[in-house]
Amino acid sequence: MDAPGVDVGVVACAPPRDDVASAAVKLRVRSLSRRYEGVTALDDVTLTIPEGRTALLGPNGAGKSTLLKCVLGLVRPTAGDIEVLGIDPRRDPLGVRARIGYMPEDDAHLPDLTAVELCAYGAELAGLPPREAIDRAHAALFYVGLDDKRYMPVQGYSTGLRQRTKLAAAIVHDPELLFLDEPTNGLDPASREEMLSLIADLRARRGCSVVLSTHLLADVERVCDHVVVLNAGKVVADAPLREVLGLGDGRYLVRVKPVAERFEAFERALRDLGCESDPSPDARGEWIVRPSSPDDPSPIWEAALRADVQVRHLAQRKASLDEAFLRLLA
Amino acid sequence: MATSPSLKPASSPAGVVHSLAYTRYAGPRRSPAMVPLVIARYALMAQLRQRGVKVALLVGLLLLTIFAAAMGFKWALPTIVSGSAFGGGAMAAPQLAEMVREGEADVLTMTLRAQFLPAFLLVLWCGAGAISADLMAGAFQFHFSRPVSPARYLAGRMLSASGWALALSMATLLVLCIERLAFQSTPLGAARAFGLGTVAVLLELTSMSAVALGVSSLTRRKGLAQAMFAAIVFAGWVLFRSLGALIRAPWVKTLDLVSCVDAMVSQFNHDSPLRGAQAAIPALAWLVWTAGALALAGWRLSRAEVNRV
Repeated sequence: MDAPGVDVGVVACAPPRDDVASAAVKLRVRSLSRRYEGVTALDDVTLTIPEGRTALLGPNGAGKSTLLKCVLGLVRPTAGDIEVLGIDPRRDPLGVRARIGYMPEDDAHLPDLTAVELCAYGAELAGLPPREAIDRAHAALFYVGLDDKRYMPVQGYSTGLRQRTKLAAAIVHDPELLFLDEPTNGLDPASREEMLSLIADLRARRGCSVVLSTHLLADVERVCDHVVVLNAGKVVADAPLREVLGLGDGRYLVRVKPVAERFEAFERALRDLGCESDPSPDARGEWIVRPSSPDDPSPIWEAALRADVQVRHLAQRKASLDEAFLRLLA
Repeated sequence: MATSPSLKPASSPAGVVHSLAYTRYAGPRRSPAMVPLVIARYALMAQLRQRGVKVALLVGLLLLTIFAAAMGFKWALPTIVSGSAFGGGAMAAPQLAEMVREGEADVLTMTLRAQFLPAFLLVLWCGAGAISADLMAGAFQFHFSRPVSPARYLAGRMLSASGWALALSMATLLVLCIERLAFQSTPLGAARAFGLGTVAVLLELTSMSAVALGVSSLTRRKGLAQAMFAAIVFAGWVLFRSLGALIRAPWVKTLDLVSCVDAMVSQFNHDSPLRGAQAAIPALAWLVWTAGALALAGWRLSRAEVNRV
């Protein structure tokens, strides 16, 4: 279904955002291409990931994994530049990996190690001294809500505990940028809610920027403030979430008491007051209205007064991310 | 240390997010060159939880005791006899020198023979399944998303594959050298035997571990990797022995994984049947086994570094 009111042209193929202060930029990619034999995985990708929580979206095969491999320095780009936390991963891949965290979608543990040992091991691999590593392993596991279960081997954990352990292992070495791949996969609603709370908290309390790769767009709406959408190796959106959702484009959703004989008068009053209006496709008695001044919805109230209709809902119009996503991919 | 922007508790419906007065880590970070040691230390710790490793270590300690007692008796006996009324007085100098030389040769041979079975079992448990188990558990993602290169990962796995076997073999070598020193040898002779023994142990364990890891990198199934390693060790030994006997070429018998090290030890002891250009064959065979297996494991790991993350 089309999402009325979402002007995708605003976000699609946005130019490189060089206006973003360098200090606030965690990942900058310019004209990045990666070609395998006969396949272009990334095609002239330019994007900027700022501080905060960013969603990396795209259908399967869009190029997300290849982008991540380029970021980690595992794959050499065919062309273009990439800068992670001010480091070029082609020159110093291990330096980049020491400063970022990665929580993979699949299981990633070591046989026979408990959660505490696994996290301490991860911290030591990232260069922390052994004593500091074990201290931070306990702190990270406590942070994600693993209590005495942290002393059990990870292979015996439920899906929820494994996800939490993976998150703890990803943050234990205090990364500045954290990549989370489907962190809520396989979680029940309560565990999912807790995981999203943790992700939101990571930025607020730990000062850790997060890149969230997921197919669950509701999760993105909950925790992210910036969205990058890839499709067929190209960037189709790189913008704040509110822009992708259509917020701030001056459209309002108005719902009035369903008295059909007054609807025509209400529409006429809106036109007289300089508002553009379209009936909402979702329900009778609803309109999507753009007042002449985007920040001032008072003409809508004035029109309702003139037409003698009772306004029951008035809010800035936003599409669901699902609608926006499908429209971007189309 | 800098504090984070906010320490107030985050809102969580289940109260799972705890306030820890979190502080960022601002201390020193160690060089990535330490990574192999970290990998080895954690792997050795985890291996000690496996029953097979514990059993192999116990068997090794038992064999160490038996061999130490037997060799001690062997070396002490001439001294006791020569000093007794039955010995007919002091030994002649050439006879004594020959006995000392034989004793030092015994140290090399006995160290390898005493601990061959436990060392094989330990490398089988700790090495032949190591990379397979990592493949199965997704540990490559864990390692290669951190500052770990395939070469350092492999170095760490080499250390952990041979760590317990090395400890056992070196303990055996040390005990035998102390016995030599106590009964027959001079400090210099004992030190020489210890040095050559260390080289022999390292040669044996390096090639065994490399082959175990090479095989392990080929499959996700730990049992299959272990079976393949055992087959290479024992079937290879039988095959090259039989072939050597069939075509009457002693050098062919030194081509398998175990015999090439044995042949090199014989060369250290000056009792090798190989002469001339053939003398280089055991070393070449060792090099081919070790380098080939490491190259195979390195190639597989380089691919896995990209594909498994």
